[in-house]
Amino acid sequence: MASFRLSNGGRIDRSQPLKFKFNGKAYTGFQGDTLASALMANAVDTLSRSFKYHRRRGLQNFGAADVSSMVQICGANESPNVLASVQPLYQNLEARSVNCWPSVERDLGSLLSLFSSLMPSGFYYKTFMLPHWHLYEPAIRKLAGFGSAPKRESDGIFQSCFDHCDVLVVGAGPAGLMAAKTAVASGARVLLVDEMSEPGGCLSYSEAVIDNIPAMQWAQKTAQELRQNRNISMLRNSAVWGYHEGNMVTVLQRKISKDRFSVKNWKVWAKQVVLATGAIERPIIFQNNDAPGVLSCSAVRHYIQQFGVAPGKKAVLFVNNDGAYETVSTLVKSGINVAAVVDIRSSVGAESAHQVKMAESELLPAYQVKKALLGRGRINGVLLSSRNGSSRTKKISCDLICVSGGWNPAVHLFSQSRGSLRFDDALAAFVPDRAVQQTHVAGRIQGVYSLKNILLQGIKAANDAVTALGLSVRQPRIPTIVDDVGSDAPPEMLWTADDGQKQRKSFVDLAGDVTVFDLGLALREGYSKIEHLKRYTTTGMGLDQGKTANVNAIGIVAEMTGQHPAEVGTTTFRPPYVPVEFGAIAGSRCNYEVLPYRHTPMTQWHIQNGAAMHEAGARWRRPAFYPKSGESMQDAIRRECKAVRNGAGIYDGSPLGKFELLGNDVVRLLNLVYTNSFDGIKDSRGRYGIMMNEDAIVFDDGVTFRLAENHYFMFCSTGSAPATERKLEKLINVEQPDLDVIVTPVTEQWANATVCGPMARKMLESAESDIDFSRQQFPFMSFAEGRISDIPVRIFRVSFTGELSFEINVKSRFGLQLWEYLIELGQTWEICPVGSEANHVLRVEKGFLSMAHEVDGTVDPIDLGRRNLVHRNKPDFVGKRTMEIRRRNRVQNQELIGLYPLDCNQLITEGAPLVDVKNNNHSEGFVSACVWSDACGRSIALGLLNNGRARKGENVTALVDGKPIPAEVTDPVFYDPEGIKLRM
Amino acid sequence: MTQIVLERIPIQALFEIRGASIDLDYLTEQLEFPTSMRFGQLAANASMQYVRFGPKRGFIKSDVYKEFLLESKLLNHASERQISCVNVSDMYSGFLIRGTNQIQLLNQIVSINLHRLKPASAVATEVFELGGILIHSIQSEYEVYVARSYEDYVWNRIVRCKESELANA
Repeated sequence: MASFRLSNGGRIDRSQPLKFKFNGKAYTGFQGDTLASALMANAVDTLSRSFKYHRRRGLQNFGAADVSSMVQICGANESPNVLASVQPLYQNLEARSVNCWPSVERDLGSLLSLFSSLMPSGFYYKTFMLPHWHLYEPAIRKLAGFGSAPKRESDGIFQSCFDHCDVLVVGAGPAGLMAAKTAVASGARVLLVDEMSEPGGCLSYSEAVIDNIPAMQWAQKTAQELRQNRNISMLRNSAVWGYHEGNMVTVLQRKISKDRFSVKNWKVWAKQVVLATGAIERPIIFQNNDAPGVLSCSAVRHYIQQFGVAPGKKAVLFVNNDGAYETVSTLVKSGINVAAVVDIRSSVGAESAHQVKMAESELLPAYQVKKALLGRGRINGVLLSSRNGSSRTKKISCDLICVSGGWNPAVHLFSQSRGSLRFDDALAAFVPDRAVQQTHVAGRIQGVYSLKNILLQGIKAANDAVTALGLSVRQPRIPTIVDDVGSDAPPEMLWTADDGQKQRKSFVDLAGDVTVFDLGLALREGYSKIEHLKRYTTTGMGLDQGKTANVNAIGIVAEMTGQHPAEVGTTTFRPPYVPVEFGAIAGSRCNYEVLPYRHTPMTQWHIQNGAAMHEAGARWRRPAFYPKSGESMQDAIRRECKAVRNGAGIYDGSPLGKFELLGNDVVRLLNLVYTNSFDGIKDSRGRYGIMMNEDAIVFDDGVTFRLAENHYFMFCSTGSAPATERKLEKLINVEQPDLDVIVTPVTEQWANATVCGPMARKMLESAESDIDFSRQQFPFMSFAEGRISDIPVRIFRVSFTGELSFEINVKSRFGLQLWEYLIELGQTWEICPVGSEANHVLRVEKGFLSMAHEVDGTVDPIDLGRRNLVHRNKPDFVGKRTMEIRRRNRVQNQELIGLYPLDCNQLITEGAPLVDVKNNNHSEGFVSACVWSDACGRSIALGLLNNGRARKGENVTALVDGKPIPAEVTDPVFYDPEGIKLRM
Repeated sequence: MTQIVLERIPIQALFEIRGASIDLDYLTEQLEFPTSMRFGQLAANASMQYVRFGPKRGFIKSDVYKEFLLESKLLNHASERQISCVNVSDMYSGFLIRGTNQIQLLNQIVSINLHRLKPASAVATEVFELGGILIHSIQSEYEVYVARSYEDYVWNRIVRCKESELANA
């Protein structure tokens, strides 16, 4: 196999060979190589197949700008959509090409190229419509695209990290290094971020000498000096992928090595940001410009100087600016034959012409590459045409075309920060105009290419940033440059050499297979605005994100429409600038942790005792039921209900929302948030209330106890606790700031074990306790404090089951101890732990409200049959006015009703609509809950029905899966309607 | 050498103090702390550590065996003014983080600017998107407090972050 590795040169460690595999074939590279450079050295030309037409794609550029080098990393660290040009090589790395089958060399998908005329931009909007798009969609999606998502869980390390700094410098090229040096010398805390594995940026392909040493050596020395300073942190292999509000940037740091695959997603808040993101060499578009063997001039120099690898053996340069001529000497020094230099300009700078002469090469001014000629796997020549009006063409054989159409400043992050851009005619490029955030720009992003000016710009940007911080600037020494190789001379504009502009093989956007023809087609179809054209053609979208495609597309559209590029304008750059793994965004969260469950002190006990757990509001994980061996869910629920109705049950009520209220105006607050009055409540007594929103819709319910004067304890529903806290705080701090009330949420402070059932009192009376549990001393809706088994407790007599009930609250640290004590104590009464499913049955029997069932965001307390809880004579309460308007206007409401299915064994699915069968099944309500009730000996249900209370005794129809189920409307309280049992 | 020590903190006596600014100033004086202490500054004496998160919110931490004495003392002072002093010792679970890479680990846990959280200061902040409290002790260790119901979740995530940090170091 041919080797393209040069015998010397490059900053690789030739003493450390590394074995790797690509598409199953073994190769060798060196420490310091990227996967791209190692493949180039091994004469692997085709890395992948293109997105749509499955054309061969090889290296075109380097770094994040090389959108053609996407591969899939295989093995334990499988990762799709990795750019080979930024992936460091490591021992035994395995990678494969993407978007090809059965192999990248013999890809069946490439047959699509034959039908490319049928698949222009937006073809999927116009074709494959009969009988419908979805018939073709799977096959089309399979043929298009890039890598595939890994099928197994990654072994990698995914982290989300945060950081703050005074000055964030993006880019460790010459401008970035000088900016960092200046800022850190001035006492700022600096974070320097660069996407490559070593600092230097554009110096990696420069032959410049700074401070009497080669430029890259200077960059490494400067970075080394910076590292000694504690005020600077440096992130390598880290791409800034988003610039957001508040000067916050997101940084993706990737490390993929032999034994480690780690991805860190940083969120960095910077007081000042210096963007030294450089520039990306602009391509010139011609036919077959996407073929392997066509590279940017800077990429050619980068591969030679950084990795000691030759991108080809015989080169033709196609350029429009003097800066690109540095490539000639680099090629010649590396022993690569320069067949010709094709320059679109009729007049070439003297120095440039001299370089060509020294290389004993041919200079062809006023010529352009019309077409790259395709050989086996890569180009084998170019077809040139004259630009001075003659029809002369010229053919030159070569295996490498080095292209330079000038530079596109990397303005992506500046644009993401909402900074505006302007088109600079001299540079023929968009450059930063006005910053909106604390953003400064330096170096080639400004369109400055002379090395000396780049360094000076770095210092200036840092000076501005440091001054804005209020620090005094300490100017660093300006490095000496012997021979400034960069050139600020402007290029001559040429976007495409595709003179007919009809060619389907002249690619503007290599990532999305968008051609010059596609742009013309979009314009002809009326997509005249650049933002519309971008979306229709996908130019600059996907992986490219405007790195190489945008400016050419804008220029071509300008030419086609006879406008100036500034008039065409630019599209909005958006994150992400580079591909970002989902794992990087998820960070250390995995599985259920995206929405974590909350646990009570008794959760482990429930699990150990076989409870089936479920989420029961506000992420609390609660026992649903406790099945015994061989017992079904329904049997377990019936057993638990029976225990509560006939003996004793115990449930974990810890998740209930709890608040301590203190202040002179607590009663005023309660009178505002609840619809009923809380006046005259005595010490140690409680009251039930319903809360509404301003729109007179029930929001929550609960009980509040008076512990002492001006000191109250409020319970609310589990799921509503966070919202209730916000509501109370809003009332106190915003709407009624004169209220003298302090609210402290204490949900987790108190664990709660509720003992309920007719035997509950007897059971607790047998406990070691100083509390009098008698009915006279401890009546319904009262509160007692004392000790049980020497544990300090607060007991509230509230009932959610309709039975005699004691809610025993203890500090969470005693929760499990109390629970286990009560379970043991209750053995005499065959106490039964009760899950929330049985609780649901018990509350339906009592017609008690559940915020998740009956309260559906449409009803007020009167609809729910709680007219006695609406005290209209109160001066005000939240929602009062709206409710009165609603009532005055006699809006027909759905009202809470009970239902007896006519078939007493029939259960109706919760949520089933209640329909008017005589009126085309028009909906008139729904079933909110339906359970089997042993206490009633039949199935019972609750529901909301239009004008429901007046329809008692009427038969209605519930519709389940289209099947009608008749039921009789009844009172919603099925068990102990007088409430005698709970007041026992 | 990379080192991170991670421990669960045994239950502490914790008190949530809320009230008007002027009343909290009064309480600060009664507890013999300077009223000039800045928000976020953690002051300590033999019986407690005290921090004002803002004008209307304070927080007290002490050893659990001092809980009842301290509670009674605080309630005494609180009753003189309109101050809410609630024992929240059981509301929170605490974790101690120390070691050479403690900042790197904390950078995965909280989003605040740790460079500004000097030793002997505290802040009420988000811990893994949950409400919590972060204390930078005088010994330059960090204590993280979160709602007890999320204890297992937070502990497991911190452990995983620690493992990642050590593997990555």
